[in-house]
Amino acid sequence: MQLTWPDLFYTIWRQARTCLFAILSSLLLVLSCPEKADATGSLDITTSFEFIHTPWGSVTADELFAGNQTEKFQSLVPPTNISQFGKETWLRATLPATAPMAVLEIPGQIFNFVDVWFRLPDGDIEHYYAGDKYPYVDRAIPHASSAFPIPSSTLGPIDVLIRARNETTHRMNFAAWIWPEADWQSYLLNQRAWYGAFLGAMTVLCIYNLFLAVTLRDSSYLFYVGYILCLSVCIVLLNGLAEEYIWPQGKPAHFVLFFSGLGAFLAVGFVNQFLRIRASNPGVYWCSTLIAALAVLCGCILIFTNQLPFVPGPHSVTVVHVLILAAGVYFICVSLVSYLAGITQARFLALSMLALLSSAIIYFTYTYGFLRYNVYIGHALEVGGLAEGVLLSLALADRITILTRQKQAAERAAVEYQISFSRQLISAQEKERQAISESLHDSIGHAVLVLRNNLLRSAASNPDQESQQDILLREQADRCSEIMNDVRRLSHDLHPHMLERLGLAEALNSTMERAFGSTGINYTITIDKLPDKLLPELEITVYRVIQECLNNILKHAEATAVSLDIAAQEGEVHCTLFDNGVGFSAAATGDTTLGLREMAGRVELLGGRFRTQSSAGKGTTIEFVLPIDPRESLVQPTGGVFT
Amino acid sequence: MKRDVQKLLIVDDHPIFRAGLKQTLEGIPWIEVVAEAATGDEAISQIRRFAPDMVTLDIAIPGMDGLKVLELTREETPIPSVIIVTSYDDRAYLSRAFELGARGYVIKDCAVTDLITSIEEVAKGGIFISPSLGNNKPILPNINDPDGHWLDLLTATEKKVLLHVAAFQTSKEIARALGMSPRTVQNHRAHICTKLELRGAHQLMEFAVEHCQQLQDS
Repeated sequence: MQLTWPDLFYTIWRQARTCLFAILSSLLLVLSCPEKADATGSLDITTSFEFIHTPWGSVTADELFAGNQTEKFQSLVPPTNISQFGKETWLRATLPATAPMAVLEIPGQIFNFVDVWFRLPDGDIEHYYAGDKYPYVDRAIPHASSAFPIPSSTLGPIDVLIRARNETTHRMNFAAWIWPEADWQSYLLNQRAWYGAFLGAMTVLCIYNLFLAVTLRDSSYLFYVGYILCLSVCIVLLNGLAEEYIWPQGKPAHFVLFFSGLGAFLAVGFVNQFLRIRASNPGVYWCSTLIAALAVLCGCILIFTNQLPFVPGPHSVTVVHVLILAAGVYFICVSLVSYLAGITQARFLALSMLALLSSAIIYFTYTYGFLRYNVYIGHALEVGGLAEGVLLSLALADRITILTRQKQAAERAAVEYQISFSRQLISAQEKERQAISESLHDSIGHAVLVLRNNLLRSAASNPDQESQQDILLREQADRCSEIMNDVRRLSHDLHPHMLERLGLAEALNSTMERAFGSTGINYTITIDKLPDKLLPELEITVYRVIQECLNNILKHAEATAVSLDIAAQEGEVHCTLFDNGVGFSAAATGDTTLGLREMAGRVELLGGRFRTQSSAGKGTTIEFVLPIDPRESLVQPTGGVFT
Repeated sequence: MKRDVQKLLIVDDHPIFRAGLKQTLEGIPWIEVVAEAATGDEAISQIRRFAPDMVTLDIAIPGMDGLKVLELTREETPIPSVIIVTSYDDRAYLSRAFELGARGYVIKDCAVTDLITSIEEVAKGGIFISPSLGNNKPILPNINDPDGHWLDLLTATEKKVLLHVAAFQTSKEIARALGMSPRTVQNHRAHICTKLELRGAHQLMEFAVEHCQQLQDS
């Protein structure tokens, strides 16, 4: 099946109820966030910082405030990655006194430990801390990312000293923003609304697909739901929302890695189930499942031991990252290859994982220091995750659409085959009748004719003196004539020989004359604009239906007038047969209705319409319409049906 | 009466019936059965080979049917006179046969009695239809009209067409001769039939043959 735009739109429309909320809310919030952030009085002061790296615990804040460090502070040229494994980073600056600022935020990502010292002009030092290794409840400002209250000072500028520590090899990019109180509050509100919308959309997708999983009994929906849940948890963990809502007292390490690993495992399970990789390619299936399972195992070990066995130093995290990345790449590759191999259902899969992966790339490009912080980057993963959820849900709906289409096409083909088969059956029946009719006429008819002629010749040998024997011979000859007439009538009823030789109009004329010529019934026949050559199948159908109707009229109608109108209009043959007899409801017998139903069936097989109109005492009108080229509605049975 | 010998071809798929016809014609000195044929294709090749003066032709024969053969005989030189010998007693066949240029129509049931008469009639230049087909003679008040009032009913073109009909020409041939389409000729024929209250091509031809002299005079 080819990818078509209508198909695509149909799928999207089917999923509209679910997707609309998610797409709209994410769109609105992504658009509104930077506007709020930029329009208000927040100030990016990242570039006013200087920094040094020192070994853990080698210097104190007091010493640095006193200027007792051996290394010289370097100025920070953004975007700069400032984290070094095994070292702590010190950053210092003097806050500008341009406007009263209430909050210092270190946005973008969560450091393990962040300590901040403010030195007031009068020499007082205030110390705050944040970061996911400190209990959330101890933070001076209850906020998911690192934020600190700036002490109010009217005397002069405030010196600020920041210590950032990381236990992992994770690269961290540093940014620092300061906020006026009112703007900070509205910023917080916006962020909460955005997270609420994001999580709400993910939940809706999960619930909707959970219902589908139950309704359709399809395990790929369960994989989907599990995967989307893991993705949401990861994003929640990365944003610090987890500390805020789930672990305010502090949490075990490496939950992100565990859920990433589990998500990768479920994603691989999903794609394998969705594309039926196990059946088509068991080697690939087991290999991918093993890699994903290893990611889960490593994540699990890291939660409990903080260190993978057999992996040197800080590289445990890297190992899990590589495994997860491998799973993501596998997801994209297998869906792309499947799509290129003609499995249309895969079209949304590759797209969805590409969306997530590109958002991850944006995020990590930032953390490695190639991009400067802005609100888009801050929410890149969430947008990517949401796109992933929506697109995967579309993929599932898309599959239903495609399977439904295929089922409908198969059903249509079956119906068409049935029609074509019935037509072939009728045509075979007509051929057989024709053969019987011709042999009746030719063999028996002629034999009797010859016999009769011989009898007459014998009798006529002596016309003047007709003996008793001659009279007997003539009588026998007359019997022969009767037999001959019977045979001819039978032959004609079986197959109207005139149809092929003289055409439909003449055949009908002759039949009407035969039927009514000796009955005293008045009949008229009008044949208008009929093409010279009609398809034999069409001619015989028109003829048979009219023949059946004429028989009914003769048997039951008690009519005194009959009219037949046939006209070709707009590629169709319209036939109307009217009689002024007793009408249907009074005269109909089982035979009549059965015969008529059969005729209606024959008309419909050729794509035509059949209608009878009758009431007691008011005569009967039978109308039927047939397309002149019924081949348009005829579908030949597909090859190989009988093989 | 001294007559030229008429060379005759018998076309019928039934060997016993053919034998019967031959037997019927055996005693007549001026008829010579030159060949027989059982199918349409055979009939055409025999006509080409023997150039018969006359053909007795069945309609229901295998392959090409009698009507098709009749149509093709018009392409041959010389054109043989065709007498249809068939068991079909429908007027529709009769009409079509005369439209296609047949000169006689004999019902098989009456072949024993009618065939010789029909051959005689056709040889004389007339036409013949088995009497058992019913009253085929046109019943016209003006049929014996010596003044030829019926001529006033026809247009000049229709008279021309009628003359050609009297010369046993088919619509196609008349069309070629008069430089019009066969469809137009058929329309003219239909008009003439309506005006003179004639039914079918055979009645038209009968009428035309009978009134040929009057037509030529006018």
